[in-house]
Amino acid sequence: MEISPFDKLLSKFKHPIAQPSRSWWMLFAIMLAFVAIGLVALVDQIVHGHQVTGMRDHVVWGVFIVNFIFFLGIGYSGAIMASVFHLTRIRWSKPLHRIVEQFALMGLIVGPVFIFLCIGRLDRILYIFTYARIQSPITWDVMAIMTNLVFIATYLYIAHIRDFAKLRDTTVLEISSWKKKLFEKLSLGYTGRPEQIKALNRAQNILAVTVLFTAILADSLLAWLFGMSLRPGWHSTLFAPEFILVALYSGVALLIVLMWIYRQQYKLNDVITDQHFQIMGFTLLLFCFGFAYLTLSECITEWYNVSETHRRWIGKFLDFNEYGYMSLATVAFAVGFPLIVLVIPRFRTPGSITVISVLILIGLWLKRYLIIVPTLETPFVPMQDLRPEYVHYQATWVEWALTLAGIGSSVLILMLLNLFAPVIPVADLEHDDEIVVPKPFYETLK
Amino acid sequence: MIKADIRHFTGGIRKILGSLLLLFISLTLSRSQDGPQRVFMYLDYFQSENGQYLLAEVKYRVEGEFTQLSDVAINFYLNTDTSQIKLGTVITGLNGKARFELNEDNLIRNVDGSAKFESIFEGNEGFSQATKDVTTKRVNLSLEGETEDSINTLTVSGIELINGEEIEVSETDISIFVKRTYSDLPIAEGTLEDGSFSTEFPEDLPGDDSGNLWIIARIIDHDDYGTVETRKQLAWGIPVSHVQEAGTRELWTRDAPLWIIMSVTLAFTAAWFHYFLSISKLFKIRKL
Repeated sequence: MEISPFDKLLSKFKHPIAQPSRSWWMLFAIMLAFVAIGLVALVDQIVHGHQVTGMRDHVVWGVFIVNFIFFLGIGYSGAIMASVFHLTRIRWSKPLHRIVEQFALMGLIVGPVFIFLCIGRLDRILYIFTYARIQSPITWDVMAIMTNLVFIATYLYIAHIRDFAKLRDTTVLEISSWKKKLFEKLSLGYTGRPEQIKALNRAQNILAVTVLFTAILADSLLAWLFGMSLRPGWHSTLFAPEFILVALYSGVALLIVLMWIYRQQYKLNDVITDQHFQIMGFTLLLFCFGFAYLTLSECITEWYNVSETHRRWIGKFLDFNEYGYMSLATVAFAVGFPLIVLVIPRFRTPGSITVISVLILIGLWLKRYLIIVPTLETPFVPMQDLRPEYVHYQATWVEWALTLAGIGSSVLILMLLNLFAPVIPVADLEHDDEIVVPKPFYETLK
Repeated sequence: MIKADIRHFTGGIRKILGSLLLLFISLTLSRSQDGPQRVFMYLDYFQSENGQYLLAEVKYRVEGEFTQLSDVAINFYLNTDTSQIKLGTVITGLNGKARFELNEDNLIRNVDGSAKFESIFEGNEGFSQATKDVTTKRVNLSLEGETEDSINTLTVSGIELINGEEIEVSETDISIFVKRTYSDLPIAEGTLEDGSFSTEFPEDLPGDDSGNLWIIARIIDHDDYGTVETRKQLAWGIPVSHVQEAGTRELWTRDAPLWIIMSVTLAFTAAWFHYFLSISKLFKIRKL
């Protein structure tokens, strides 16, 4: 019997949906080990207090808050991209929908964990709600993150319903009975009747619009948390658009990395094509220009400021004994190398675009570090007669171990999600004969 | 001729290289001979009507900047003409300071009423030994306020105690402060002559609900007395009520401004309304 193209596509996800492979279990074990290392560090932090971290009286935030912003940025960018892809009905983006939806959820789960790690008295966590002040941007942020988490989890579920129905009915994959029952429940009896299609589309449309607005608002709130303080480097009207742009930039970079991994893992060359990498590479290029423009704008206005504190702050980015190398690395990773690779045609291969995306992710993590730490090290009243570790922040093994645990848990979340659904929305691709991905303008000039 | 020049040139090069080698060796040796780091110790004596204490501080240099030395033992001694009596040991805190409370009953003072205290850090593998001493006398400071013709006058009296005998303090600088939230506000400076100093007190300082102010008279780091202070509360300030008026709605008050409540409520209600609208569509799917 000849196997249909759809079944052929679905069968590529036999591992891990029907049966996780050996390599899946190995990676799972490694990521669990990462999380375990983080748990050891967490116990040390709880037993001995925050003195085991590099955070002190003046530099009260460090790598934890950097990770918080980084992962939330990933989450919000995933939510924005998922909504835009869905609402604009861009056909070529269909294979990418699931990836962005999944990392949106991942970012919104992992990100907030890092803010809990900043709290010295976790036993007072409920005070955030019991003593909430609606005037406080922190209260808005807590509400916004929780709202977005619920919304994106629901959106992810709605976007899965068609695939759950396919997995319920498929005979191509030997799915265990408990999973079949689960798919039956989760698919809500969806069989693809026109009324059901209409209702599902409406539900998804409404939620996509809501997710789009709330994700933009929530990321802006995160930026205002900093922007509404008067500190040099934070008090900027540019902060909210910059946060959103940097989030989208890192989101697109992560999308490309995951596209490359899944393409290799599931042999999806005919679904996630080279042209997908080209068009997403072009998107990276646009965000790269935007990022460079906002960074220049921020630096030049701060540099022109007559305030002594602002000058001390900006001077740290030019001083190689302070943050000169990190600033250089940020610009090189997030602007320099991407421009070289994406502008020169012979370098624009899926592999090199993926490598550059990894560098961009590192560069944008460093950018968040440069937003937080140098500012906290530059208060308006100069710090005097203090021990060096109070003046200069240095992350400890505890913070790096918990960062590693964050990366590990992110991968674990994606791996667990992939146990229950393909990494591409197969049901949405069933009736698409061929995916035509548009070419960036420079491709058409050849 | 040319050979001589070359010889001269190579000789010069050899000398430069030789000097550099010597410099390198001497630097290496001097570095390898680095022993424990030098410790700088400071010792201050403080007294007030609440008691007296010694405050020792230890620091060392890191790349030219002073850094506090924490978690080390400081021994405090009382040195008399004939003996050294150990008073106790205190471990320095994160700020590099060790405070030792003194009990007058346990002190043996000299004939002139002075007592010589010494603080010693014994040193360890990483840090050298450091000592510091301070000789001090006991002084009683008192503050009195008087209002005449709506003018507030403050009088500070200083009495030196020498073996039970009271002697007026003279030619000693004194400063007057008012306690504020973060630091002490300087009000006046002068000299204690024949045991007293008087100054007019300003009328325009904000106080608490009843106009109370904490006024401080302080002799700062005197050679004989150390730092001496006394405090007194007087109702010489302008009464300022810090109680919020009921119903005030500002960003910094307990009750939020109405526009914030309305905006946040509206935004979240709109979002959650659409969320539940979307969910309601989902519930219909099974029935369709």
